[in-house]
Amino acid sequence: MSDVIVIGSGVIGTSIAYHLARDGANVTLLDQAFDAATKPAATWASAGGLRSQGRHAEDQPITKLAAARWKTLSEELDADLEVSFGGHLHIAETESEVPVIEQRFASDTAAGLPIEKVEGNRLRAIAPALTENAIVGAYTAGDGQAHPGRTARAFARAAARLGTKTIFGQAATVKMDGGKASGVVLADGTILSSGQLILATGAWSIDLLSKLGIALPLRWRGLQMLLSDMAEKMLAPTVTAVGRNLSLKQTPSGEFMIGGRWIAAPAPTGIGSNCVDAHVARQWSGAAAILPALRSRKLAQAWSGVEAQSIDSLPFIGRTRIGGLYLAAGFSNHGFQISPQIGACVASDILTGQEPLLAPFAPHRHDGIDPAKVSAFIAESIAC
Amino acid sequence: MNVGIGPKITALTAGERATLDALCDCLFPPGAATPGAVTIGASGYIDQALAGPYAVFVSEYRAMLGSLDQAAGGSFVGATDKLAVVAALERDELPGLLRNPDRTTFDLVIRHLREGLFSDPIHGGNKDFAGWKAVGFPGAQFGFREGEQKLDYQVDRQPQSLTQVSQDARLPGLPRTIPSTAGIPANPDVLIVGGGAVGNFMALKFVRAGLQVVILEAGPPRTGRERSMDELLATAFRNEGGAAKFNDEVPTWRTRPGEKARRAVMSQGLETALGGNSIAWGAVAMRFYEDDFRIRSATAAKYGDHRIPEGSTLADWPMSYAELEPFYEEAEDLLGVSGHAGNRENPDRSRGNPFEAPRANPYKMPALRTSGLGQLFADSAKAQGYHPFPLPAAIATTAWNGRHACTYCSFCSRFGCHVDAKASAQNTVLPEALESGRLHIVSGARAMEIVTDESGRAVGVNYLGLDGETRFQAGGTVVVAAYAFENSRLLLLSRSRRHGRGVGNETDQVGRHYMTRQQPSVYAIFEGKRLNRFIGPTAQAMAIADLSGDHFDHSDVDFIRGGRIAAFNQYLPIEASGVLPPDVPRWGEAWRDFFLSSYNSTAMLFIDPEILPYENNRLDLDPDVKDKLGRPVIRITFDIGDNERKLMQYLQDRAEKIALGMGATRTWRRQFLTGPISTHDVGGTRMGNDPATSVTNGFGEVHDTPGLVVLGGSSFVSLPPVNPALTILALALRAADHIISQNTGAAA
Repeated sequence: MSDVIVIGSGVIGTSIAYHLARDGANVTLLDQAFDAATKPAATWASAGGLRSQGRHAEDQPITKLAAARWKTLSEELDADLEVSFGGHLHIAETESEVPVIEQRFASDTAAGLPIEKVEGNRLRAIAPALTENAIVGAYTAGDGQAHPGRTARAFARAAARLGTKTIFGQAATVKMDGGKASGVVLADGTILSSGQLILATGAWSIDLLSKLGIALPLRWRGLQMLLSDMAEKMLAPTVTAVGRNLSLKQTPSGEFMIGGRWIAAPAPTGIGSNCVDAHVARQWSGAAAILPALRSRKLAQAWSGVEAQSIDSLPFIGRTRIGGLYLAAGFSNHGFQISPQIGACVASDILTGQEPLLAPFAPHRHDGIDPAKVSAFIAESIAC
Repeated sequence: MNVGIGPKITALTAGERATLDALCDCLFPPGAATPGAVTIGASGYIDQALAGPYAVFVSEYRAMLGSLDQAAGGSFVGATDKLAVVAALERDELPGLLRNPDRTTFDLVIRHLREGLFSDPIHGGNKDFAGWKAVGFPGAQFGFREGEQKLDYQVDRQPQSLTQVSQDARLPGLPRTIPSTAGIPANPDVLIVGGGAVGNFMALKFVRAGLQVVILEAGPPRTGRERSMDELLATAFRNEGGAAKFNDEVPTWRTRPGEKARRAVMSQGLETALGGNSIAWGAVAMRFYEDDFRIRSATAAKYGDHRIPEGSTLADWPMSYAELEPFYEEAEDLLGVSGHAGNRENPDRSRGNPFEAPRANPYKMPALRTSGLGQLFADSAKAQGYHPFPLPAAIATTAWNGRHACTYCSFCSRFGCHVDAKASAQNTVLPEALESGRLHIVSGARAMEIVTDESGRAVGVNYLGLDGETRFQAGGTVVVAAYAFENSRLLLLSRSRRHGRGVGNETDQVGRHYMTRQQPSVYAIFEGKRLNRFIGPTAQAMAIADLSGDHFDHSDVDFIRGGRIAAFNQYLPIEASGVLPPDVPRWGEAWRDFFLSSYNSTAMLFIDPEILPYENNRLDLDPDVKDKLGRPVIRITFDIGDNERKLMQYLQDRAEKIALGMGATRTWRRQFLTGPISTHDVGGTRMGNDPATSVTNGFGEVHDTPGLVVLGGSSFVSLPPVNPALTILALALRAADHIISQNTGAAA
């Protein structure tokens, strides 16, 4: 019998398992895949940006703590996470976009985040290869990038070193007893008992919760990503733009990774998605518009993964109304940077009974919401 | 970054180690600007390896180190005539050496020394990349930009260990298999022996048609990216690239009946793990030529029956190219093949191979880029009237079905691809086949015999599981697809009252008509030039087919058929340090100076000669040598015929001329007979319409055993000068359609 069973081996589930084990809990980590962070899960597909700027106010305290964790996380986990700190740069290309930068600068500064407003020579020095149309930028020098898949696998290995039992390759369903979650049933029929279950199951959470009678304003979408072939090193920061659906960074090998919130087509059955060619073309041309050197590069890989999105863009973290069932899902677009601290907070919440930093993310915060709004959110088709 | 592997455990005493150090510094001495073997860490590597994977060699080393001391009058370390003692060791003349019939102790030591000098530092040698720096090898790199591959470009990169390579392509996941101890479906429509390319590609077609499939795979599951940049552990040297089973049952070889067969040396490793050789293959994906399927009749019609070489069992294939064409295309689409189609109307304006058989459709991805070396080859070949073309390859050159395009790293043939640009079963057919829920792969399941019923029909397979239990697995159709050696071996080992000489062997045809690729390459040095062949996959090659098949008139030559000449990339330092012209010794200052100065200036004009089948050449069970389970290994009887010798001479002469046209400052040639186990091992269960001269029909159905299908290179009737993999897959996909039509009643 484990103190805690964590279902889901993305970067959130593995971080939670690691921190629980570090804090002395007896943990079992489960996933239906044969390794952590596999296709088509969000962690597998993630771009890996470590961005502290432009976040929700509710996120900011955790983001700040997480930023400190990333400085030493490779050593802590004894693994190469491909962490680098080239900064994050959010740019305006037209005068009309400048106020957005001003506003981000003001609100992040107020929250105590080390953000800088850059223009002219300073902006060119940070990203010389960028379009001359970039007028002004919000720059956070301490931000950077890391490898989400390697991070999740490193968390899982570190958890295992601390005694966490890892079971891969078997789907699990929640076992209920007397109205409470009492463990899981694995695909081969094995029953694992535990008084505390944590679902960190991303897009798969929706089905798992619905089987237990819990319907949250949560949906999944496939998001697509691109990689170019290798170029000379020319771009240190991750770049986003006010007027574009885009994130752009250069990886350690010299490839450009192009993300944003470009929607992929859902797979015909099951949970999964496929890239949409028309979106690939527009995603690429948007990136080439702010980094002209991309025009002479070639597309090397295109993929998509599935992410769980909540109605207010904040994750659901905390106890559900089913006793013993804890949820940590809905991190679309902002889960990776905070993942080390989410693990620490959830471990503290589970083991000490409460973690104030997680209060804004309570899973039932929308209970009582107009069902029509939820239906519209779930059905919404997102324009790219 | 620290790339060591924890505390060092060593095997030798301090005294022994001192002698080994002294020996290593004789073999690869310090130079004016380069460190010697001890500083590079080669002796430390050997000492560590002897405490681990090479423990089996400890007594041989001890004996040798003792012999050195004794020959030096007590202490080799203090001797003044060390080189003379080493020379005696090389000649295997020192008293006290342990003898091995297949090689000398010196052979072993020099191989280990090369490993310690040039393997990834994670193995304990090549300290601070000193070995790689000495030859200018940049180690494990994610990839290279096009400009870096230009001729004479000075590549400016810090050497890197494979542990330092970034993982930009999405991470792989392990395919879902069932351990052999678990319960599996009792009565699948199709039971396949072998989880390699053939088995997995057929399985996808079966599950798409709604059939239930079980694959028995002797080895473990794997992603295909394991050890993706490790020259030492890939299939060439220690052969730990997934070949545990094969390493236990390496065939023996003799050139003719009556000789004693000795353990064969593998020029390439063979993989026995999920995905089989689809992981480590070179991925050249080229179709056979139109007349390859009717060589015997075409040769007789054009030149007369007397031109069929004496002793040759040459036959036509039981199908035409046209019948196979749709399956070639299907295989290409499943793999993802990049290439340029040929222009048959105007060969001089062709970007592809103008001799290629007609294609219904062009390639769907452009060919791999042309390297500086490839361009040099193409220019010289063109000037001599040939028609150079880039080899088509199952390597993505653009984003393809979620796979990453080739990064032009140089760990390709013999390696899993670190970005899955190179097609494998894992990154092509397996995900969809497993997703269907109708494919079950049993790993660690070693097929022991094909089981037949009273009527002689195949009904299943007995297999040995990891728990030591032997179990029976039934199958509606039993497909054996376990590489050429195991296909023949399993048939011969499956004996019953009804099949006294082995299944399929009623007419004594199993094992016959064996053919294996010989590699009589021409090496060329371009003194003072940087070729940068540590960039780019093997298959990134320019080739000519003007001298293949019957593409030139054979009226005035004394042989039939021909071969392909190509300039390949991928040149890694452990292997390269053993590529020496006849006048360069394999150790000492002369070796060191030669290798350090010529590593980046050496090219190879690779010759793929056509090999014909002969009465002399066959596979059977070795009467003396057994594997760990006590089952006989395959005995290869193979020699080349006069026809091959003549065509090899012809090809070498022309390859050398192309090399000289490229500006080679010196050339030398490999011998004609380079031996078996080339990964192009074919024949043994030859296809044909006549049971007296073949084992199966054109769909792989065994003539004398209903319900049994055997497929793979073993099905081949001849071995054209083209890589066999694509044809193996086309034959398998065609056979799969036939099996489906039998199961579902649909038209094939």
